[in-house]
Amino acid sequence: MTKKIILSTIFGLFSFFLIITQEQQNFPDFSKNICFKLCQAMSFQEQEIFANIVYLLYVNALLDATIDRYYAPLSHVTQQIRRNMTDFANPNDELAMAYCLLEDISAITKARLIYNTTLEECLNYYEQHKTETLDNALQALQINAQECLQKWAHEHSEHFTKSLKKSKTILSENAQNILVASNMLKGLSKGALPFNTTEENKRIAAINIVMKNNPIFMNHANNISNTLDETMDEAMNIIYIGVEIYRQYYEDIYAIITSSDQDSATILFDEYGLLPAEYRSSLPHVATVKEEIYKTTQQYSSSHV
Amino acid sequence: MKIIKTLFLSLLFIVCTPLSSSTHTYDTSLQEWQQTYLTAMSPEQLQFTANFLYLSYAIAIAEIKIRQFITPLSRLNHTIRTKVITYKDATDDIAMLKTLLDRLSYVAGARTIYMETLKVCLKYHNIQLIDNALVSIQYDAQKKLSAWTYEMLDETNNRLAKSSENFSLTGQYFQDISQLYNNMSKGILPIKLSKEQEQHKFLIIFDAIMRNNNELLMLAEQGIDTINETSDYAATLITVGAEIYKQYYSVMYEIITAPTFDKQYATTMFSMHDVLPKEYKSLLPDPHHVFEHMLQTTKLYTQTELL
Repeated sequence: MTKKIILSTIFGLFSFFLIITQEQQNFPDFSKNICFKLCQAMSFQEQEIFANIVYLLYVNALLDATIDRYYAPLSHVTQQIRRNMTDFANPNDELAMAYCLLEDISAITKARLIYNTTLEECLNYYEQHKTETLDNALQALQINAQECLQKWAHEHSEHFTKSLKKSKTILSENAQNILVASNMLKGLSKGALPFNTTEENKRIAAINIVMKNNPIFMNHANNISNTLDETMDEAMNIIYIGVEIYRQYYEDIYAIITSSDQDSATILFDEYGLLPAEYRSSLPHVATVKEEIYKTTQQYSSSHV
Repeated sequence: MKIIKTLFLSLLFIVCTPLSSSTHTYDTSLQEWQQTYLTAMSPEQLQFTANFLYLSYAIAIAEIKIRQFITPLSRLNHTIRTKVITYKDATDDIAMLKTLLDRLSYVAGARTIYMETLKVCLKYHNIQLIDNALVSIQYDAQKKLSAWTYEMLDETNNRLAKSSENFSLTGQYFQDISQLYNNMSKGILPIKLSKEQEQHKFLIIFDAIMRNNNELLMLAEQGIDTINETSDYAATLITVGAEIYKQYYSVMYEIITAPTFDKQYATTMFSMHDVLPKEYKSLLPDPHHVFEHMLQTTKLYTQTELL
């Protein structure tokens, strides 16, 4: 099991197909309660590592999906600021909003950096200490997740197709407008004006036309950019499903490791590697994962980040 | 007075409006303008004219400064997005964008204050002599701007032709992307799929959209950059316009700071709400230090007033 394959659940869907064709016969069928079956075959130590890997995958996917939700708002607010600047309106409300969005993006990217490095450390450790049971379990999860995603993709294909058609129309219309603008600029560069004026005023009129029309061209470019964002948002729904799948796995594993009489399973890694025993705390309940992320991020000083 | 407002704003922003009606001839040299209009003015009228020119010049400066933010704002926004998507550290870019937003907020606030103040100023006076003096500036400015555009003719034509090419390429790209989306909506992909992959076609389409979206957004951003560059070049006209305001304001400033001139008429007259009370009036600034004066004035207003 390599990092790439694990991450492919969310980040590199194409590599799934390679696993399917090569490994499907080894993992023929998995039920909804896959985690319970997998954990039964593991020792407590294996379960703890398994839980840590799934926990970190879930957190990384969650942070990625969260960051994604900021792109379109930031893009919209930047467009509105530009519009206000050129329309002589006061952009202060939008500036304040952009500032808040940047604060949030900054905080989440810092958290992601910490958890991404922690996941790398976790996977490095796993590579050196892996067992066949664990390896099989992780691949089984991978395949199961893939099946869920495929099912979802098929169920939502009609809706997505409609969305693509709508985007295609908007893109085509705005691209056409940009081509019209191109022709207009070409005409202006050759001294052709869309109205009559004296020879001495022709050049200043040409510049005036450019200044007046640029906000309109900008709207076409913004429409294209927004349409791409909307299509991306539709496609990104699959990432949210991926996050939900990870959440479900982690919830199941957490239930198993906290139901037995054995020692409680702990967070084993930080961004520098395996944590000393005295720094380990219990793995969080799925409902408190966000608080745990916040707490961990706060613990790191800005110099660490 | 309303017509002057239109004409004056048109000096910078709607230059075409008065072009076709510019049949009347005006004195265009600064000295002649001074001789023709200013010598006949009372100190109060001179004060008003000086205030009007000061405010117009200040707004033109704010406009120039604000336009300098547009391109970096677009680029930083896209850089941050690209870095976040590609797992690169965007901390410096985020910090830079925050600083940019802070500064923009300040300059935009200054522009709002000065535009409101100019509105108050325009409501205040209605004297034909002043109107004539201001309309004369308008036409002189128009001639100077026209002369400038002729000096820059080759440069302008080259830039317009280059922008046209870039627009054409951008438009074509997006036509192609539109076609790609159209094909994908019909289940047609630009790559050949194996039998196994064919079963997961929709998953591959989702994946293709997610993988390529940032590249496509980059193309859109290039289009926006081209528009910004074209805008920036056209906006040099504003810089020329601001310089013309500065020249006229300098003439006024020389008069109101002359030793023989009564200094009670050498002061600012308006705030963004009304005519300034006597105790709040201050000397009009040196033409070379108008921006500093603007920043000081902006500081006097609370954040609540700006918002």
